[in-house]
Amino acid sequence: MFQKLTNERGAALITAYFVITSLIALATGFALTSVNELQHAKRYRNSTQAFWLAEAGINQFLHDTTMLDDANPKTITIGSDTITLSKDDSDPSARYVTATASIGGVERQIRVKFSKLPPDVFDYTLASGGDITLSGTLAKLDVYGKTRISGTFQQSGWGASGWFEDKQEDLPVDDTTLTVPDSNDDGTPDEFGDFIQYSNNIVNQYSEDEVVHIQTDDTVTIIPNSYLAGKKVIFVEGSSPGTGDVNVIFDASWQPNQNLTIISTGTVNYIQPLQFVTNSQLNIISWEGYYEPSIFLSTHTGITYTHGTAEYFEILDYSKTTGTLVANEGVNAVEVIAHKKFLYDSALTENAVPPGFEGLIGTGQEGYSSTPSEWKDLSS
Amino acid sequence: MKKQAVLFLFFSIILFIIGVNLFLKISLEKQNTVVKKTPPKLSHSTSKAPNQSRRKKVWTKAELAKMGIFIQSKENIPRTPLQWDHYMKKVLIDSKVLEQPSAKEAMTKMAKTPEKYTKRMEEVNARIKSFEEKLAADPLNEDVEKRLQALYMLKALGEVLKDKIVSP
Repeated sequence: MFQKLTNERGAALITAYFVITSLIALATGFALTSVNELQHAKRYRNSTQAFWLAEAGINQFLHDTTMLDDANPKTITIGSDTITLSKDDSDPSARYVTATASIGGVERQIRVKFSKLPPDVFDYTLASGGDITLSGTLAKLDVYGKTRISGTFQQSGWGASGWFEDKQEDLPVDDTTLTVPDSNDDGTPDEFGDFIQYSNNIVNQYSEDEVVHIQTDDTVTIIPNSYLAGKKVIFVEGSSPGTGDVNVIFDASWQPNQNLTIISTGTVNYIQPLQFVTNSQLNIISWEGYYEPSIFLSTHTGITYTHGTAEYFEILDYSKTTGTLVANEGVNAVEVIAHKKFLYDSALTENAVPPGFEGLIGTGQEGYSSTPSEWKDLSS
Repeated sequence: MKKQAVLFLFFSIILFIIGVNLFLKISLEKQNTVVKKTPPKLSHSTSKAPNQSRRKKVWTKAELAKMGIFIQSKENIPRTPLQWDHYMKKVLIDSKVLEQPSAKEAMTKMAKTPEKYTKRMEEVNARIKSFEEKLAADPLNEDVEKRLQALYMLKALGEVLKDKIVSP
């Protein structure tokens, strides 16, 4: 056999076979590549068709945002193709609508987010679940925009005067307060346990770099500086109501467009607000109460919400608050010796509430924004 | 002849296998890069998320201090005006916040004449005295104590800012 293989004639024959076989293999390879290219082109075409079909489904929903009220999921037919639309309302701060379309076995999904419309209280300058009281010699309180009170306005002290541009008293508490949702699923909302769970959920919604979460029963003093730029939430979590107090002192170092929310299970003491930088806001959420004293000229911009009482005391100079104040148990401007002014300026960005306020429940504008705030191709 | 046929078949099969393998490898690589993946399961953060869904970052004292955040234990928290003066000077100077341009702008807006500044601080001292008396009469009154502590903080802040905001 080896003798034959070394034979020249035999070698030529083998070479010929080799060449022929190579050509056959290459031809087969090319043929299969072509078939595969064709299949790939088909898949690409189907994928593109499915994508635009899903997009058409989203547009159908934007045209009629009530279409999922009766049926969820809902199938829409366009020509011979079908789109499945479904909604997910499990997130109390937003609705997610997903359109799924399939062509030739290729499925594409597009999801859009519709933020929940903020409660009515965010349209008010001042919302109080209790009374609003003003006391002090020559104390002056001016509130521009809407004031909505579940109690009444009361003033005391020589020369004390309160002026309201648009005030309504004796309103139901639901219209003037915010409620913490039943975040711990025990069947009762607005409890301290709900507040803890709610705040933890909020913290989890943001990236690690955007959040400072401190678990302590001690007092936390914050002297804001430029290193806080980019932070969204500072959550001071105490183990029981009234622990984890926060003092904010000398905050004259705000950066433009800073939008920070401090959440505390205790009381937030905002000592001498000094927010002179425009387009920045400091928002507060406190379980126990909110204190804001100032002895010099002071300004504060942002949304303040306390489950307890908001106290503005020792106002010895002109003091201006711009934004919204919601105090579930009432507002006291005590020992105001100078001039306290509240102005309304929507603290909402593109109709979305500031960090930390997502999901707080109030009455009023039911439903979701008609404009999506987020678009996502789930297939990519 | 029979052996030649066997050899031909053998080489043919080997070459065919190599060719098909090459082709499959190339086409699979193409498919992996171009063809869309199976859509991922819908996921978004919800308020029903479990408490410990993400490992919490533990901030060191130094990291917090860099951001101007200080934790004061019940034993170490300033209580008296002197302690607050000392504490306020320390934290405001350490954080260098007074040196920032926006702070300087704020202090310009807060400017007071020496007379007005003195009068304002006298008012603060008078209120401190009043609340100290109230607290002495009712030592368990938490509201009075909180307001007194706030006044101590305001006084200490006023003292620290004296050189910065007082201008004739």
